Amino acid sequence: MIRPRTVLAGWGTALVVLGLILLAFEPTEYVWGLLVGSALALAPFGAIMLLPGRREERALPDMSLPTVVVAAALGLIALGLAVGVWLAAVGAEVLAVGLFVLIRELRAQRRAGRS
Amino acid sequence: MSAAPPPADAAAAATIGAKALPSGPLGLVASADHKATAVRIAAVGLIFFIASGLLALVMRTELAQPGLQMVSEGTYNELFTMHGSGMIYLVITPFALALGLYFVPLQVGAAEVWSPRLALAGFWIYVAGGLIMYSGFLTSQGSGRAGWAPTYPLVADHWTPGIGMDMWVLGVILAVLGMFLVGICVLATALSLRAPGMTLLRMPPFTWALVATCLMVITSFPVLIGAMGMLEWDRHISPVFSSSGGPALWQHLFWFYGHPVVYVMFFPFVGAVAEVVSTFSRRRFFGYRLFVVSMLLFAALSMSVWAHHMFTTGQVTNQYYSLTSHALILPAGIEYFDLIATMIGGSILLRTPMLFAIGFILQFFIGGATGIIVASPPIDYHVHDSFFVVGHFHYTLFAGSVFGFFAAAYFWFPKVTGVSLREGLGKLHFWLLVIGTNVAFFPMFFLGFDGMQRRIGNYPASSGFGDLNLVSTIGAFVIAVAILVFLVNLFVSLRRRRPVGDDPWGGQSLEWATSSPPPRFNFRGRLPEITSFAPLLDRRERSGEAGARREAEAAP
Repeated sequence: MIRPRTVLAGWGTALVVLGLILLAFEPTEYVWGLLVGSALALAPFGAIMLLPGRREERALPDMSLPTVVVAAALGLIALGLAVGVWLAAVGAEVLAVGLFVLIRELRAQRRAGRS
Repeated sequence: MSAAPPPADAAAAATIGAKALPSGPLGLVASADHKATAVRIAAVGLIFFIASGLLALVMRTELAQPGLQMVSEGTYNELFTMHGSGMIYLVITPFALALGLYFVPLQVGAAEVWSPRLALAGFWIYVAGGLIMYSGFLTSQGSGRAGWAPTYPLVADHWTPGIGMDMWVLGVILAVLGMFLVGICVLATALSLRAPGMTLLRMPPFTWALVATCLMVITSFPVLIGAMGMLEWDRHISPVFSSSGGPALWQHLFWFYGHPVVYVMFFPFVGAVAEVVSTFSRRRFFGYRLFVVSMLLFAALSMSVWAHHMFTTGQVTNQYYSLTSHALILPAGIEYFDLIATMIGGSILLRTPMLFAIGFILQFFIGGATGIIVASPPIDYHVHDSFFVVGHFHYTLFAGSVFGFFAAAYFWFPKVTGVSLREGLGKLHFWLLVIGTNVAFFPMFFLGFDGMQRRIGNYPASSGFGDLNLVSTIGAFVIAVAILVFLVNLFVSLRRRRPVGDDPWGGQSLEWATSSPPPRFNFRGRLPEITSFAPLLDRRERSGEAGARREAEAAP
């Protein structure tokens, strides 16, 4: 039976192998490093995605307005970087508020899941 | 906000009623249901599709005759930049991942997607990115105008100044970040939230296609986000790419995203077409395990071909990238073989989804075959940056991926809405689109081979390009009519609803075992026994055998 971690490990290995073959053709570090580095960057993703026991603890949200606020704040910050720092500052404030409420929401959800 | 208990068995889950989208303004904005998020991505993607398509019509109208008639050269630069980047960052990638977000949890028997909030955040970040990109048109110096795949130093502040260009860069960062988050959710769902009995090698072909897609997403998308961030730093804070080798570094970083994203925009539609072909051939998908291996091999190889876009720079080792690019023929051939072999001996039903699937298979072949040409350095030197390349990627992305998207849309529309799209309008849509696509894009191969450069709105009458450009423009307008027919079909089908039941096509995977549209946590009753990648087909075969046994026993 194939396991999820085998898929991720296989993918990472394939990228490393391709990177090493590229190294034989092209010694520039950043070129083959793109492949090898991407493979190494998979490790934290794999760890987060395949956390054991996550499934049993899951409680599912119907709605999440703070999530929308956080996303909108990121949009404001990005727009602010182009049109003016004042807008980025407003975005940062909205982001702080959104994150605060989002954390409260996550805690409430975790409590609901336990009960 | 309210939280529902985790349905260890999905039957235990509460539902919020059978609607494609939750009602009420708050629900429309903040519902975390993966299906609602996916429908919203598809709806917003459709709006950007229309907007980016209209830009293409203006471009094609300008190109219909030699010289400049409608727009200035600067405006033309904005048009092709926003058309290309709109279609890639805001339309086809989101369409592909929206399909995954909706159907992967259903196909693996999960009650929800992994981290619904992350997917919701991804959607809104993508919307913000798209709006910021398009808002560049409102600035005094215009929108982004260095192409969807900009080169350095053209994209540097000195050569392309203005807030609109910055908005393009920042908008791309957000749009790609949004889809990156959605990709994480889809991959993690397939890997970690499968129902009991749903082993990895029992996942349907579509889900495997999304696994391969999302592996590329999580590997390549962060590189573009980083590269665009460095570009913005370069434009306003201190030079990053202006040193010796800097322009090549920029191109490496860009194409490390830019080529895999072509497959991100292709694989989900191959998976969808595999589902359509097996369902409408009334057969089990042929060569399932080989298909899975070929998908993963294809994805891995596609991560190593990026610099074939840089053959003419003289800064890369052409042999390696040509070798890996040609190696893609092997997994692509396996996939084609599987799709065709599934049809052979099947009882083929030529409904609209199947027509689009066959259109996808035939037309993408032209895109793939011309891809072999541009993967060969000697020929690429001739056609690089010409209309040949434009023809090639429109055959892959439009004649291929968009046809695959429509196959998926007609196939799964009854599942998402509970009603089917009109068959007559669907067939009209298909034939108009086939005609328009080939009339619009095939002449581009000849134009490119004859030396017409891409990204130029003004060409002299003496070049002899006028006639083929006129033909191509007529084709573009036929495509526009075809899309109009699709929009009318959507409107009519949703307005005058004809319910079609939970499984109108005789589907094979788990999404057809639930109601249409599916309830809040996807499944109300017990899931069917999962014994293969086609559990509903297994069930039908078992009941067919049981029925045959009963008849045999009852016979005198």
